Amino acid sequence: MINKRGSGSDILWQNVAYIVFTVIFFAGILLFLNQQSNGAFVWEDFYAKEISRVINLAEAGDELQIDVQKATGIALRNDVSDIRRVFEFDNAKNEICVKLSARKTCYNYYNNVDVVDAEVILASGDKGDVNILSFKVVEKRRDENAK
Amino acid sequence: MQNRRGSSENYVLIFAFVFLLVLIFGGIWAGTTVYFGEGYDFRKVDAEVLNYLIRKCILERDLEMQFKEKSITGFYEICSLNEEIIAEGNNFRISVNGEEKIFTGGDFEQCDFKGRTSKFPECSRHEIDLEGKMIKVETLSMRESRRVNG
Repeated sequence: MINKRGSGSDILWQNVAYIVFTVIFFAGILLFLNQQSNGAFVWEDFYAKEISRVINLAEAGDELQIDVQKATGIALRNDVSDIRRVFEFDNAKNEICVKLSARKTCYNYYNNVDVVDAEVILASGDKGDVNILSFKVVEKRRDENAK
Repeated sequence: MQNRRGSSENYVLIFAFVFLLVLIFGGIWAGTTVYFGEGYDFRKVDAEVLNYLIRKCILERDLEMQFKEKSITGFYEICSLNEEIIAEGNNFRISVNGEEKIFTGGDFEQCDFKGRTSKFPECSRHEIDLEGKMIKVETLSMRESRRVNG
């Protein structure tokens, strides 16, 4: 004698379980691919290293401006709301850190200079205008706490 | 009387389904990580920049004393280079007329290995003629960026 009582609810719960796991899986895939597609880590690495190259080749007294439109766009998409935190210079460690996501990527420069007056100047909105990172390179200060 | 024979195997299939999803997700994750995870390979550029700075310093400053005494610290001070940072991931060697004057260590031959991966250093080699002396500058870079929280 086969007792089929309750078999309908079994099938229902199994299908619900399959649907729930499938939805969680695709949601996870979409979230992961979305994060990878804007390549925040690669761009952090790129900007940190290229800015360090600019500093290494600079001399005291130079004033530099770098197009950072791409970086600031990625940072805003990844909810980095404070634009001042996107590019941080640490003169004590001779280091530039770029933050385009929850974490940040840092790279050192070996030219013994200090970076001062660093700021991101936002595009004014005119056609062709871009966000600019502006900073000055000066002689190394002997006070190691200077930033 | 309830006959539960066979009902449990339907729930076992759910675990197999979840396992399959985990396998698929793991494959996609591994593929994108391998493709995007390497970062920006800057070692060759880093070695070239350091080589350029050293050559510039040799041409613009008088390093006779540093070469004579093989003084590495004196060299860093005159050329305004940060010794600690260079020590972390770079090396260089300066030779004058074939005689090694300043050497910070490192294996420059690894740069010539065929089929080397990103775990090997990249080198830059240049020669300059200064007042009849042939000065060879070799630099090496293995520096990588750091990913930190905050």
